[in-house]
Amino acid sequence: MIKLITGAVVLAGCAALGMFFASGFRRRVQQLVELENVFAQLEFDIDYLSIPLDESFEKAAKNSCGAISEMFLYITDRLRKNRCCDMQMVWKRAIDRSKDDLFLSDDDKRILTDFSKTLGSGNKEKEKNNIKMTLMRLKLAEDEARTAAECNVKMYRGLGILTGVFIVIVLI
Amino acid sequence: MNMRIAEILGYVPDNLRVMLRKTFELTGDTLQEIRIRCGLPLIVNTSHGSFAVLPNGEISPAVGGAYIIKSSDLKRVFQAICENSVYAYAEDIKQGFVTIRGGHRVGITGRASVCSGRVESFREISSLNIRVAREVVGAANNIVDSIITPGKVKNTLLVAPPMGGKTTVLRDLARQISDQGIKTSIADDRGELACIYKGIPQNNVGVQTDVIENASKAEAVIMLLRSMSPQVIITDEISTAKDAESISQCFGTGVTVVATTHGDNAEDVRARPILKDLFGSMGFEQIIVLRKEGVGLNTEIFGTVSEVN
Repeated sequence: MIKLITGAVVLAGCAALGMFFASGFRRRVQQLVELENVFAQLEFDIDYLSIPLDESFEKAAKNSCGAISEMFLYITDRLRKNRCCDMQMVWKRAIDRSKDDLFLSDDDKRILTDFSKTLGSGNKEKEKNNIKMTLMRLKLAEDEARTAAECNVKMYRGLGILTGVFIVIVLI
Repeated sequence: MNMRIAEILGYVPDNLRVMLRKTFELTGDTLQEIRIRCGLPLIVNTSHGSFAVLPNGEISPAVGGAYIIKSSDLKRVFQAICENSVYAYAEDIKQGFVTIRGGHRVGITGRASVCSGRVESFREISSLNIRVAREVVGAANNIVDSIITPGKVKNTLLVAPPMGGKTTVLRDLARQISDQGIKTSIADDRGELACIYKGIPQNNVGVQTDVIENASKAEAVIMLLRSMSPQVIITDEISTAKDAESISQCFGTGVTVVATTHGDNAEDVRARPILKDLFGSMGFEQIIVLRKEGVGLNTEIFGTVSEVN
């Protein structure tokens, strides 16, 4: 009976571990989609409303959740507290602060820091071009993340269960 | 340190902030301008003259040893005055200045990008001039009784030479008229009277005051007349025929106009072609010539010579 319970616990644990790793791929896709929405909103705010970046980022923080929201809250706070801040440095720090909850790859993060390089220093056209380029790169990253998720989610789930089964067999 | 002047420190990078904090303590309320020119010494203009700022924040009449502005300093300050959103301030940049918190105006110069003969933006910024906003509460005390008479505000033209205190007096006059419960509208084409920052006037122009800033005077006056049902319209510096024409449209509508113009005396003003139609039975009822009697910030007293039609 004890063996049976232990086996079940090990199996469930390994399956959960597999699910946990698999969820990272799904969360990456979700966060990339969330970022795309934020950038689409940002384009609207710049093009039609002409509102300053801190106001737009505050909206972005409200409209998103989790790590993405935290990231934009931090950027808004820094822009308001220190107008002379280095924009790219602020973005790097924001990404770094949320790194435990961000499921983005290094390449995804580079898209964001590249975006921040010239952010806020140009006219509408320049800002719109910068956003369009970023959206395009995010879309490509999203496609790649979806493909990776399709393969890896199943693989990690299966791997989790199989590892569990293997351990149970070895233990028995 | 004057809290209003201290607001400027929020727009400069750390190295300049440390330096200027010391400078502001030294210059106090005499500070008028901070000149930030790329590759040139940091200069402050005060009511006592022009001084170079040394790297330790001390000031010196000679430029030797002064802190030299780097292009990164200039870029940071420019970004900061635009709240890191240059696109949002495109219209202000076209006009050549941006108003920051505290009502200070930052003039911008550099290589202009021109489209259809008009400045669209600046490709490269070469210098910034932070003009310290000054508000002299009570500057209009000597003339307010001549303008606000029981039951009526008189159509009044304030006259003084450049730097004669017209704007300072007009701003205080707006506050005093408005605070008496009279609906007041300001057509402020250069953003000098109310100095609106994020929708909030940085100068006290009264509780009953509505402001249109940065629009042409001619357009703003007509818009205010149509939309805000003002009892008094206040505008600075009538300088073109269009300005005069829009003001003449207010006369006879029951709206009082208080305006200013450059000049030394009433005769010269009456003789100016663009202004001559503004006098008469329905026009300005009085010309008040401002004379500066005192010198020094916050102690300026404006005497008046009133010449009634």
